[in-house]
Amino acid sequence: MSYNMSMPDVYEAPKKPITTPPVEDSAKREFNEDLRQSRDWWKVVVDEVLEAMGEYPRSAVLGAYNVRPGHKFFTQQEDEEVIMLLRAHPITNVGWILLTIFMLILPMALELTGIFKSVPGGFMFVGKVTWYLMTFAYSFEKFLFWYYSVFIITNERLVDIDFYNFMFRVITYANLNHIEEPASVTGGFIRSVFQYGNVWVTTASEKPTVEALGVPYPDKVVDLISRLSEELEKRREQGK
Amino acid sequence: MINIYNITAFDIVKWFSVVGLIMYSAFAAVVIRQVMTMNESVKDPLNSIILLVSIAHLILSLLLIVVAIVLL
Repeated sequence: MSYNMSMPDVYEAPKKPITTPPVEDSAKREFNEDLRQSRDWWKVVVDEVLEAMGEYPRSAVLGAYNVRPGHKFFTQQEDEEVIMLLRAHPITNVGWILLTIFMLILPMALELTGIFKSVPGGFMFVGKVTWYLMTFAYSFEKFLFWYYSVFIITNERLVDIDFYNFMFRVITYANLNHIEEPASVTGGFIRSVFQYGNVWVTTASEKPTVEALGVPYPDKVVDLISRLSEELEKRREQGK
Repeated sequence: MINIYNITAFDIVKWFSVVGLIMYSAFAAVVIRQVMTMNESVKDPLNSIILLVSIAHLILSLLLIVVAIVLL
């Protein structure tokens, strides 16, 4: 008796081509894994967080929303990188720009009315130049306060640099490990149209909040802070 | 000797203007110091241009003092 019967296949796996990760991808993954274990592990974390958010490095002169701009700031540490640098949205400057334009037009308008007819030419000249110089000083000051009041997110902390008047600088730091509730507020017609708003970050310290006022895309900012803080928390839980 | 009877209203305005412009120049100098402090806070490609503008502002205000003394 021969048992030369062939058993039919009960299940036949579909013939799919065996996919192996490309050499480049696997090499990159290995490199990332090595980096993750090294001192510069945070670079991988930041890359991954930005990739997940769909953000890419971008910065512009006078830009209000800069991602990995490569700028340095006061008290920056060696292993610290600026991930996001924010300023108030440029639209917030409209008020003082309009006032500056009004101040520039005012002398010409007053001259047309003829109220300076009795004033000697020399006084008129010096008066006008002084007025324009003061107008410039006013707008320059406003620009400086806007340009240098920045909110910085690094791989380690949040840094809020504010200038209120001459020589009065307030710098607030909040470690990403110690933040509790990042929140954003947008509302109103102008803010909705130009997509800017306020970001508040609650911390466990004595000064409870760090704030970024009038910054572009506040929801994205809060998202970044939350993700970075979460990654750092995971890292801490793993004891690394 | 200054004859106070020869002093006109324009002379008084002139010297008040000069004193005001000197104070303004002091303000312009403070602005330079302020810009330097701000430049320390954030290193930016625009920093040197902003510093130059503030220096130009001081030079203009000093020139204006000279112009005021000569012209008024």
